[in-house]
Amino acid sequence: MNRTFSILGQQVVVETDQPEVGERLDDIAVRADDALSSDRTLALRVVQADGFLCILHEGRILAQETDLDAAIRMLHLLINQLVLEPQSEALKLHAAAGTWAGRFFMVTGDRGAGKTTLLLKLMLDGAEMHCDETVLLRDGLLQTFPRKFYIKTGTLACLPRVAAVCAAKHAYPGFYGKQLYFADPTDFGLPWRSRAGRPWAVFHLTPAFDQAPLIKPCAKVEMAKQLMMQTLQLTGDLGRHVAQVCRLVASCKCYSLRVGGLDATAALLKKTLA
Amino acid sequence: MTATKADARNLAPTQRLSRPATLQINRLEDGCVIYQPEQDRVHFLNQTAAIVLELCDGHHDGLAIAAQVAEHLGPHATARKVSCDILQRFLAEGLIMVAAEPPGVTVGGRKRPVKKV
Repeated sequence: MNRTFSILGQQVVVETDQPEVGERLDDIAVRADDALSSDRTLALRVVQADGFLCILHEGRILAQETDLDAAIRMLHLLINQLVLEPQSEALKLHAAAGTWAGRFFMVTGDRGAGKTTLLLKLMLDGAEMHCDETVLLRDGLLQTFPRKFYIKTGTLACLPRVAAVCAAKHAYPGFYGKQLYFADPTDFGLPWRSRAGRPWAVFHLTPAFDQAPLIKPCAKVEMAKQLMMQTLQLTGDLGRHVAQVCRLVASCKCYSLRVGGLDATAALLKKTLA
Repeated sequence: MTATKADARNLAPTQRLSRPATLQINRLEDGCVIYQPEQDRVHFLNQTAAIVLELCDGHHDGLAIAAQVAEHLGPHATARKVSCDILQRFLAEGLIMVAAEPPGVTVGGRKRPVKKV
C-alpha cells in the first residue's frame, strides 16, 4: 500500500504494509498545487517491528512509535523536515499566507496569536489560503510551504463550518497538550495552491481577543524585528537572513494588527487588503 | 582608517567617530537593521539612531552629529542629549569607535591643534 503526493515539486512516496497506517495516510497527504518541479523523490516506509511502528528512510530508522496516532504525526513531521532539507538557503519564517482580492499577504505572530483561525475565516469568506505555519524567504520573495493546517479545538468553537469538517476527521494529539486536526482547503471544496512572489503586505498579529481589533501601519524596522523573532532556523549566515528580511519588509506594506473578535478582525483585514 | 576604542563615559564631543567596516547595514525607510559579524548580533535602529550611525563615518564629531540630530528632531528637542546617549550606547556595543585623526583636520567647525613633536 502506498501514497504519493508532491510538496514544492518533490515527489513524496510513503509505503507501508500496515493497513491501519495506510488508512491514515490521507490525513497527512498534501494536495496543494505548485508550479515547482524537482527530480527529487522522498521515499519513506512504515513497517512494524518488535511492537513498534518504524519510519524508515533510505534503509535507516528515523523514528519508532508504539502508538498509531503518534506514528502518523511523526511521519507528517519527518516529511516536512525532509522536504525542507534542500531549501537550506531559504530563510524559514513562522507565518501564514493568503490572497484576498488578488493581493498576496503574509501574517505573522507568536503561537496562539490567531493566524490559523483568522485565515480560515478569510478562506470561508472567499480568500485563498496558502499556508498557516511556514513560508520560505529567498531573494526577498516568499514561497508558501504547503503543510497541512493544524486546526486546534479553540478554532472549532469560532468557525462552525470548520468544526463540521473536522467532525469527520481523526483528532491527533497536539504538540502542546490540545488535540488538533489536519486539514487543508480541499476539505472545504476549495483549491489549495502554493504561491511564490512578493507580498503586498505583512501583518504582525497581537492577540487581544476581548478588545476591538485595531490595525495600524508598523515601522519597517519593527516588522523586521518581529520577523527575525519568527525565524524557524537560527543556523547559517545570520547576516544574510537579516538582509533577506529587510529586503522583504522594504518592498511591502507593514501593519500591526491587534486581533479582537474574529468577525470584526476579519472585516478589518479584508478592508485593508481591498 | 585606524581607530581606537574609547570609554563611552569619556567621549569628548570633538572626537571624530567611525564605524567598523565589517558592519552590515540594511537601510529601511524608518531606520536600519545592523548585523555585527564579530559579535554575531543584530541591532534594530530607529531613524534617529540610524542617522547617528550614518554620521559616524570618520568625518563627523559628536558636535556635528548632535547638530544633524537637532535638524532631524526639531529645535525643541534635546538633540544633544539624545545624540550623546546614542553615541555612548553605540560605543558600548562596539558599533562605533573613535577615529584616528589626520593632523590639522577641521571638525565641528573648529580647527584642531596639531601636536608638534
